[in-house]
Amino acid sequence: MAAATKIAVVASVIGLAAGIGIGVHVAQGKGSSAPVSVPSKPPARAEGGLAATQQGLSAQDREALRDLIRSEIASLKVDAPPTTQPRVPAEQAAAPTPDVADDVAQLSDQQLQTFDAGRSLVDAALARRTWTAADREQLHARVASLPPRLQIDVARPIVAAINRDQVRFDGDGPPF
Amino acid sequence: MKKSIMVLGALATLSAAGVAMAGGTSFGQVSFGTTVTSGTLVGARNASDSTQFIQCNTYAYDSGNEYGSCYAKNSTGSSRQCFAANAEQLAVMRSISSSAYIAFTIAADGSTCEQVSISNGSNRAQY
Repeated sequence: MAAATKIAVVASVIGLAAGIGIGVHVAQGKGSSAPVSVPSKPPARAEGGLAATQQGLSAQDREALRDLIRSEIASLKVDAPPTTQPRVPAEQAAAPTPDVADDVAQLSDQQLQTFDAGRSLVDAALARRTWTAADREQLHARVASLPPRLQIDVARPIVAAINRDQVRFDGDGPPF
Repeated sequence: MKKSIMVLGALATLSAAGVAMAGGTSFGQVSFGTTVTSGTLVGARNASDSTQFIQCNTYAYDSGNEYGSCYAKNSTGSSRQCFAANAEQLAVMRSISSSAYIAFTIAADGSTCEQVSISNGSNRAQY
């Protein structure tokens, strides 16, 4: 990687961390009345800030970023409603199980991206309220590298929506 | 996990794709009750529409993980599917025969199999 590129990456990471830190600080300030969604287990190393090295991100920085991504995924799994879909009642929402959370925590960076890509496909289908056999095949392909339990976890929101007749499945065979 | 995950035993699949056959009775066709989704393989196969479908699948991976799912589509094209990783439920799913009656309920999370029931009997084999 070129030196200029390294600098740009490091600066971006520091900027991201600073932005998150400022955001949390503002949200938790005395004058704030907005509800704040706080992960049940905040990233252990995020508060320490991110330190750059000559070789790029340190192992500690990398782990801090991974913690942030995991926290975001965990919060999305619980909180994110389909964009144009009637929200599923809270009591029916599928909360991630501890086992699934553990599985997510074990994922590599690449697998986290895969998980996120799968959820993006599902979210798009929830928004348009249709799911097709082609979508199913695409999702299978996207999540093939994930552990089986997480493959299912990615698909659960669309299957649950189909079961509730909120999304129409057009295709032969099972939705997933 | 390697991309080339091998499905070692997706061997409990017995499906009943809808094959239109005029004159079939309604007995055993796919039904979505308030809580229970049910139907027989024969009933779905012999339904007068070409839409009904009911099946259970189980999968075993080289990692040791196993899971299963049951799936049904009724005559209007609506679908129900649930997932299971419970060993006892997977054993039930694997017990399907061509004369099976399948019934399953879905848990409050919307996608987990709460109960799976398979009944194999001579009265399920044909009308």
